[in-house]
Amino acid sequence: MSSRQRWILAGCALAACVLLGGTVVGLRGTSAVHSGDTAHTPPPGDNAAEARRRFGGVPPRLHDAVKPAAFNPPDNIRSDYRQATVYPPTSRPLTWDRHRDLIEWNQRYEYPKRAQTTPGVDVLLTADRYWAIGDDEVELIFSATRAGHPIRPRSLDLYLVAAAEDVSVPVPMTRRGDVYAVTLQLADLIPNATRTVNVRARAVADLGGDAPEVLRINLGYTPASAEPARFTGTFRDALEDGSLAIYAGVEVTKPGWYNIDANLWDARGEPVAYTRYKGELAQGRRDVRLVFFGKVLRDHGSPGPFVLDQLRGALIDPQRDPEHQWMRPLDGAYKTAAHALEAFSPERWHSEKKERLLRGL
Amino acid sequence: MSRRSISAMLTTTILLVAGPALASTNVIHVGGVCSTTFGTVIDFGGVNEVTPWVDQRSSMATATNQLRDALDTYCQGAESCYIYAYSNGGAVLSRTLSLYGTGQWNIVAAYTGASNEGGSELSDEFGFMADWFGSCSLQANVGVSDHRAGWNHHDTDGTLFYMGGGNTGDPETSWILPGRDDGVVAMHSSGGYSSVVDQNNVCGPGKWDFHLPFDWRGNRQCSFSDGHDRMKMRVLECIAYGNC
Repeated sequence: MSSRQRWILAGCALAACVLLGGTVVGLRGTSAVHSGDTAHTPPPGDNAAEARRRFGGVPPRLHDAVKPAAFNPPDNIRSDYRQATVYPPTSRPLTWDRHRDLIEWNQRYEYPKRAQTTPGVDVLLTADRYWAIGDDEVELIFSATRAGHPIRPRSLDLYLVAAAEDVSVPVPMTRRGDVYAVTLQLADLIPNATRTVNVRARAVADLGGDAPEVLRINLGYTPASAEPARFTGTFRDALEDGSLAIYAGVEVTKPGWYNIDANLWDARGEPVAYTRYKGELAQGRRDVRLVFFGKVLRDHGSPGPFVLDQLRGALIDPQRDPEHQWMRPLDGAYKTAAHALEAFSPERWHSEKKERLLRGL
Repeated sequence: MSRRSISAMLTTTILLVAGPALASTNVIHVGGVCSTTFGTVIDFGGVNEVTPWVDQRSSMATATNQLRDALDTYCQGAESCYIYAYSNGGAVLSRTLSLYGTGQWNIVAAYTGASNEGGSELSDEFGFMADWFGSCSLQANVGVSDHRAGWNHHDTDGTLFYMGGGNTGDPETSWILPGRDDGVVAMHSSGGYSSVVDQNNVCGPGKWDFHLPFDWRGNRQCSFSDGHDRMKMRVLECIAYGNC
């Protein structure tokens, strides 16, 4: 070996050590702290070392002097994972009891609670939806009860605040039976919004207590001008690899990363399955492939035709907060062709990642 | 020695030296609302503890994107991960997997302590949240409707969520929280239930897909006798020392 070759060898060995050291240091998180407060992300596949430098920068501190056992995967993960992945992660059975949140996907979850300022009174501020899209009408409701009987507040003021748009407007509520309510279009109140904005509704009610009762809820509002795509209402369906594939037409004006969800129902009106599409959509007219896994349909036991409903979707824009730039949900449903139950595959879901994970457990 | 043989030897050397470090298992820790990193962790054997920068002070979008970056970094290629998420970190994790997960991350399983995946009723009561966590603007956007209507919780990209919940409650706040709670989040949230109903523990039916009660080597814990603050390390300690 010549002197020059020895130097090359030594240099490369040193580089290997530096590379290893850098990797370990990065994993242990002792590199420089990045304190940026950005919502921007590097694209997938960005340099891993750079990502480590930016996001792995805080050294963990040891919690206890007693050395714990090695972190080996417990046995139950294997059986749990095998059981959970009979169906693929994004095409699974839909049930009334566990998936009502996907059926009534835009519902809210407030309920009456004890007033903080006035003993014996229960109060509620809620709305008929969480997301308002385009010219959607939103109904806001306030109620106050004592022992189950409605009471009238001495005063009630409702404000809608969209901080990002510098909007704060009072909104009068009127009595409707036992509650106070107002129906409005956010487009009228926040006319200059060009993207999805957080809107806070804040009610201040004098219930006769020590101080006014204050209640707050949030809504999300996507103005019509920000709707990134639309469902065209065109569909076709086909049996593909033992599963039902429904192609939903969309016209995309803003390309990017989309989440599109839909539910499938049988002819009796019973829920069958839900599915998701997650991926890039380019500008122009596209068909989004919505797959209902064969074994889900087979196990449900109802033959076609099926009905596709609750079709909704959003552009997930990481440059925005919130990221969801909503499409107007499809107004209506699509009835598939009739398919014999036996046409759907009874096979469990398989994937390379699933097998790799199971092998590693 | 030829230049080619030196090159081959060096390549082999680098692969041998760097190989074990690249084929590693990482435990990613995600903290709660108003946090930027997890802080103190337990030093497990055989894995790398990682506390990525996940800023939960201003928006879920920021936190989601930063966790996505961390998963790209620590859970791809030859690297695999476990994830431990505390409180609102459970919501950030669920949201990240639901919005962006397409099978690209090698996540073996996720463990959560006092997860706020289903939102906290205290979020609408800003003063209570400030008492617990200090003040940050995201506190007002981690409520039950914010989180439950915010994304598809059933889609974890196939990741199992093993969820631990505390049950000691707090006289100052438990009257706002339905069912049993740890003083900040109710069991409907920490247990991954798909509807808001009174729950005594995390072992009942009615969960989002892929959400399970905490279970480590047969130590299935339907609830921990702890409050919200203590729950941050409780699940990790159960995994590390078996004192569940």
